[in-house]
Amino acid sequence: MIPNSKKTSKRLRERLVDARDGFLTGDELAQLERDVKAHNPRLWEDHLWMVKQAQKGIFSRFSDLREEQPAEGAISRFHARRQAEGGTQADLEFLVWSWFRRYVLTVGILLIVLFTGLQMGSTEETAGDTRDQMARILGGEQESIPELNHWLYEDL
Amino acid sequence: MRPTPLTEHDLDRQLPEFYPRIYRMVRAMVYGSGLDPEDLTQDSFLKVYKKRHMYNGTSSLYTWTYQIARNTVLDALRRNKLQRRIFFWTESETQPDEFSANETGDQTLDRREQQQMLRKALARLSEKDKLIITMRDLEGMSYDEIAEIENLAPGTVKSRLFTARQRLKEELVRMGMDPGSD
Repeated sequence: MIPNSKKTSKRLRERLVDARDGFLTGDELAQLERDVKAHNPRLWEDHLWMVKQAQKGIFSRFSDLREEQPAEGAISRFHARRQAEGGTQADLEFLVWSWFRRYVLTVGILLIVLFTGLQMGSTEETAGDTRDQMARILGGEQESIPELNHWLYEDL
Repeated sequence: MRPTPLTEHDLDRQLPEFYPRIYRMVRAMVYGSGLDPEDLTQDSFLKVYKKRHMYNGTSSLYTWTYQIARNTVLDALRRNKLQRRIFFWTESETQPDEFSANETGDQTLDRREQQQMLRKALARLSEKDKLIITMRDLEGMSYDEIAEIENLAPGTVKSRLFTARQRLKEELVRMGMDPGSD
């Protein structure tokens, strides 16, 4: 008995497609039939139906659909539309835009990231300077700041 | 080494061969949706011409063209579905006409009716299922080509194809086709 798993089901379906394409020997096909029936008998029924339909049933109508052609003059209409929509000029615009997108935008984003990083660094420096200045104004002693805080916030 | 860039002339030369094949795929994909397959085929090729500088030669030119057309069609179908939702059109109103084998008064469907039935059943499948059946059964593409376009392993392509064909069978049965009939 084959364990009922997704992986087994996938493998069996793959093999059934090989079988429909005629890539299996008689022994391989018999083994596959046993495996499939043990796993999920419906798969085998569907396989038989597909084989039958491919030979002379509805699936064989795909060959009719394959013979269908686009309406007459479709290619000339396409060329006319291409010319009307700019042709070579549109190609050039597209090329310039894709170049712009690829290089200019990437460089732009990198510059913005770099600039923001520098700005953050300088803000930190400024904050450091401000702390030093505060300390100087308040008497230069770091220890006095907790006292000052206590004095400032005691009413809250 | 980078391949020589594609020129307009290269594409012009391939167009008569590629155009009908891409058109068939587009037609199968949009059948019953109200979208115009010729317009969408043209849109796809306009993109191919515009993006030709991006072709790097890692896949065949046809596979690359097919990928662009596939994405164009899927985008159009998504937009179409969204518009229908916005304008409160129900799915049933936009489904292809109902078709029943019994309507013919004859259990044996003739060739033309079978063709119609196949198209309608295909139209009822999900885009994913429709696409894989179109690529393999309609276009006759190899599993490797489909795997490249869909970015899947060839084994996964096969198992998905089997499931898609199962769903197609279910749709045909739902439309009144006797599963045992030819």
